Amino acid sequence: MKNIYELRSLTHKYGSHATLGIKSLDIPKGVVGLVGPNGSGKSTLLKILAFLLPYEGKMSYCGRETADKEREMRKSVTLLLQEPYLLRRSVFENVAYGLTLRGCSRGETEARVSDSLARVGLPFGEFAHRPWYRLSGGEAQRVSLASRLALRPEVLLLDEPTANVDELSAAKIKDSITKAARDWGSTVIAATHDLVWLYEAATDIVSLYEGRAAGGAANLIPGPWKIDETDGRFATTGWGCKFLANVASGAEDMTCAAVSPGDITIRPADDEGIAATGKGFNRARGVITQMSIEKLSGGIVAAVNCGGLTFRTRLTRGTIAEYGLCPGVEVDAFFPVSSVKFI
Amino acid sequence: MDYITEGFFRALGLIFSMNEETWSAVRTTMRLTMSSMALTLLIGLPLGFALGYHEFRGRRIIRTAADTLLALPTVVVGLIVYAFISNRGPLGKWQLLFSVKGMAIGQTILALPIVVALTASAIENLEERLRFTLLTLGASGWRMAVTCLAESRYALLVAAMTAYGRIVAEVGVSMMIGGNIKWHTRTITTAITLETGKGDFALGIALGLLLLLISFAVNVGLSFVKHRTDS
Ligand SMILES: Nc1ncnc2c1ncn2[C@@H]1O[C@H](COP(=O)(O)OP(=O)(O)OP(=O)(O)O)[C@@H](O)[C@H]1O
Ligand SMILES: [Mg+2]
Repeated sequence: MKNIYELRSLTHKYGSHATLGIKSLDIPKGVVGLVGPNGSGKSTLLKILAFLLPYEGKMSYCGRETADKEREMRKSVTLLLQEPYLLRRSVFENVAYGLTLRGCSRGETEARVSDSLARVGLPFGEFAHRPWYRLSGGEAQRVSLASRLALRPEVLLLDEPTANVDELSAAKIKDSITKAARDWGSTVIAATHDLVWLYEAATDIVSLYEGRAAGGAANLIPGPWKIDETDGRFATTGWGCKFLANVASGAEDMTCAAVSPGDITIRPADDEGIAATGKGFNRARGVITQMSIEKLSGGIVAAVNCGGLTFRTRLTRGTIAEYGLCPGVEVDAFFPVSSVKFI
Repeated sequence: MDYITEGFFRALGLIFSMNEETWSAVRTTMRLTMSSMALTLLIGLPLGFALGYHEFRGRRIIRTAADTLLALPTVVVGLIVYAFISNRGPLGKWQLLFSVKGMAIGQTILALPIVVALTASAIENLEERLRFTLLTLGASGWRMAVTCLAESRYALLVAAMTAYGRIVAEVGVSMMIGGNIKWHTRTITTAITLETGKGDFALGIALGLLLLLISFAVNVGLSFVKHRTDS
C-alpha cells in the first residue's frame, strides 16, 4: 500500500470559520512536504493527521478508517507543534516522557533518550539534566524533536521544524529528520517554507491554499474563477493575465485550481511564440526566481513568478542549456487548459 | 498595654517550657489540620482537574457554585455538619460528633471549594499546546491528569497554602463539631477563644503566637518544596 493517509471530503471548522475543505487527498509514504502561505491550513491539517482535532468527512490511515480509532492510531503518529511546548522538567524527562508511557524499561529508555539527543546534535552529558528553562529557543526546539524521535513513530508530523532556528540548528534538525526516515522507515510529513530542502529531501509535496489541498507538488491558481461570457470556459483574471479552465464535472465550487508541474513548459519570453500557441493553452509571462535540484527525479525544478503567482516546473539539463535558462531570465509558461483541475 | 508585653513573654516561656495541656492542643491542631489538608487535596485535586479540563453541560454552574462556596462562613459549615453527624442525624451512628474525625470532615468541606476552584482555574489556564503535546506523546486518562497537575504545580501550591490558611485559622467548625474538649478536641484556636473569654489575654496571645509559628513552619516547608521543584 502506497498511501499512508487518504482524505475524502474532509472539512474542519474553527467555530463558523471554515479552515479546511479537502475534496480528495492522498498522502503517500515517504518524506512529504506541506507548503502554502500563512493561514492556508498547514497546522490544522497536521493536527488532524495527528488525530488531535475533530473533523467531518472521511480519513483513512494505513488503509483503515480512522473513525473511533483515533486513540489507538495516535500511538504510532506524533506531531511536533509549530511552537513546541516543553514540560517543566529536565531535558531527560522531557525526552523520556513518551517512552515511560509506553512502558519502556529503565535501560531502554536511557539508551533511546541518549540516541535521540545525539540525533539532534545535543550531547547527552551536557544537556540531559538541564531544566527546561535553561535552554535556548533552538535547543528547546531540538529537545522537542528528540522527544518525538525517541518514539520511533510510523509517522512523524512536523510543523515548520526549522523556523526560528539558526542555520546550524536547522541543518541538524533536517539531518535528523532524513535519518529517521531512512533508519526506521518513518513517513515524515513536514510543513515548511524551506523549499530548497524540500526539493532535496521530499518524495512528494502537498500544496495548500485557503484550506484546499493538492498533492504531487501541484501549482495552485486561486480564484475567483468565473464562467467567461465570450468563451464559455472558466476564467480567472486576478494574476495579471487570464487563465482558463474547462468546465469541470463533479467539482462543485471553483475556489482554487491546480496544475501539475509536469504539464508546464517554459520557454524564453517571445511575443510571437505566445501568439502562436492555440486556444488550448494557458500562457503567462514571468521571471525565473529559483532553480533547485530535485533529488527524487535527479532533475531540476524551476520556480517562475508570474504576477505574484509561482509556477514550478521540471526542466531537463538539455532544455536549460538550449535556452540559457537561469534565475532572472524572463520566460513564458505554457500549460494546457485541460490540465487545470479544480480542487 | 502591659498584658500584651506580658503575653508575649509568657508566650516565649510557654513555647520553651510547653506544659502538657498546651502541648495537647498543639498536637490536636497538627493532627487535625494535616488530616483535613490530606482529605481536601485527595478530593479537591481530581475534582478541580475534572472541572477545569472537561467540557460538559452544567460545568459553568458547578464552577460558579464552587466560587460561591469560597465565602462559606465557618459556622454555617459547622451547623450543617453538626446536623448530619449528631445522634439524630443521618450519619449519627458513626459517632463523629465531638471527635477529631468529625472536625476534619467539617474543615475539609470548608477548604474544598478553595482547592477545587483554584485547581480548576489553574487547569483551565494551561495552554492548549500542553494538551496537544501530551496527546501526541501518547498520554491519556489519568496520566494526562497527573501531568497536567504537575505542570501547574506552582498554582496548586498556592491553592494548598491558601486552603491551609483557612483551615488552621478557623474556629467555627472546631468549636461546634469538636466542642473544645480538653485533652481531646481542644485546638489552639478554640483554646484562644476560651482563654480570651476567661480574661487570660496573655495565654491567648501566647497560643496565637504558637499558631503563627506552626503556620510559618508549614509555609516555609511548602516554599522549600516549591524551590526544590524549581531548580
Ligand atoms: N485556534 C484557532 N481558532 C480559530 N481559528 C484558527 C485557530 N487556529 C487557526 N485558525 C485559523 O485557521 C486558518 C488556518 O490556520 P493554520 O494555523 O492551520 O494555518 P497555517 O497554514 O499553519 O499558517 P502559518 O504558516 O501561519 O503557520 C487560519 O485562517 C487561522 O486564522
Ligand atoms: Mg502553522
